[in-house]
Amino acid sequence: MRITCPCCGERGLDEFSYRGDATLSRPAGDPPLPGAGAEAWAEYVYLRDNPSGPHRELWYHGAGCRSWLVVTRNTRTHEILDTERAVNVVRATRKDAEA
Amino acid sequence: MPDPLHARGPLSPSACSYDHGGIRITDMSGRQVAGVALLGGDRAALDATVRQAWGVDLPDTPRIVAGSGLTFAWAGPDQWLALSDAVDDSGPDLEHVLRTTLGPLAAVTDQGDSRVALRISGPGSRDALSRLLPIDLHPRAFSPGNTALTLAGHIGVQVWQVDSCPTYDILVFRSFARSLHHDLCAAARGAARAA
Ligand SMILES: [Zn+2]
Repeated sequence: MRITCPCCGERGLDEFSYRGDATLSRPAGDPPLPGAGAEAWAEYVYLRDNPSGPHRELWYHGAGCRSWLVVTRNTRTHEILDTERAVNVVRATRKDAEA
Repeated sequence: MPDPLHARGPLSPSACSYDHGGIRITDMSGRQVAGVALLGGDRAALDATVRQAWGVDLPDTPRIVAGSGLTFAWAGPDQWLALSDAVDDSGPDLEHVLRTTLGPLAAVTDQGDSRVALRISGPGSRDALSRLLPIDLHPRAFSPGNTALTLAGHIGVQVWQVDSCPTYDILVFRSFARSLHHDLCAAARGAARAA
């Protein structure tokens, strides 16, 4: 499997490490602050979907530019459909939230 | 009477020279290296200061640019490595120069005790290096001025092409310098045999 890093270009899998599901969003209010209940936290920490098909994942380019990436990967074929820097995804999401 | 301590290079003196079959491997460990990182600072102000002090634009793509007295190598988004021109530790203290010039615009860290540069040069050096690096070194993909952060075997390195001789510099963590030097020599011997 090869991943095209937006900064470095196409590189082999051994330069990257998988860092989890990119579709999760952290519940509001860190315990013990008031916010989401225990159920929401348990779901955030422990429960994962196992989708068949395109999935958004966090990958870390540790042996390259050390960027965190959001990689859209087809879990059935390993085809990489899209790669973006995670920081840009977060900025875009924040901008949408403010708008 | 305690024995005096003497600074030693990262390579053993006998390991330093390799010059066979059109490939030369040189120890460049005297070169000063410092990290420059924006860390959320004002990029436009940093650009302006760097341009005024060294006459270059900080690269946003994997490239190296030579300024007056030093070279900047892209080392990730909004991160660079600065390298002294002098290879014998003789010039002014690079970290001090960067720190006083850039002030609060960027985080500057001395990397001289951390990273070491090795140089491989000569007509066979592309073949030799291709045996270690998983990136395409063909001139259509990698030419003078290009740099890459990648792995040489299992050793993390930053490599850039200096000229079309071709000459490449490889920056490696100091404690891996002997291993990488050994790997480079083995790759050079292999490339010479295959040629
Ligand atoms: Zn990268």
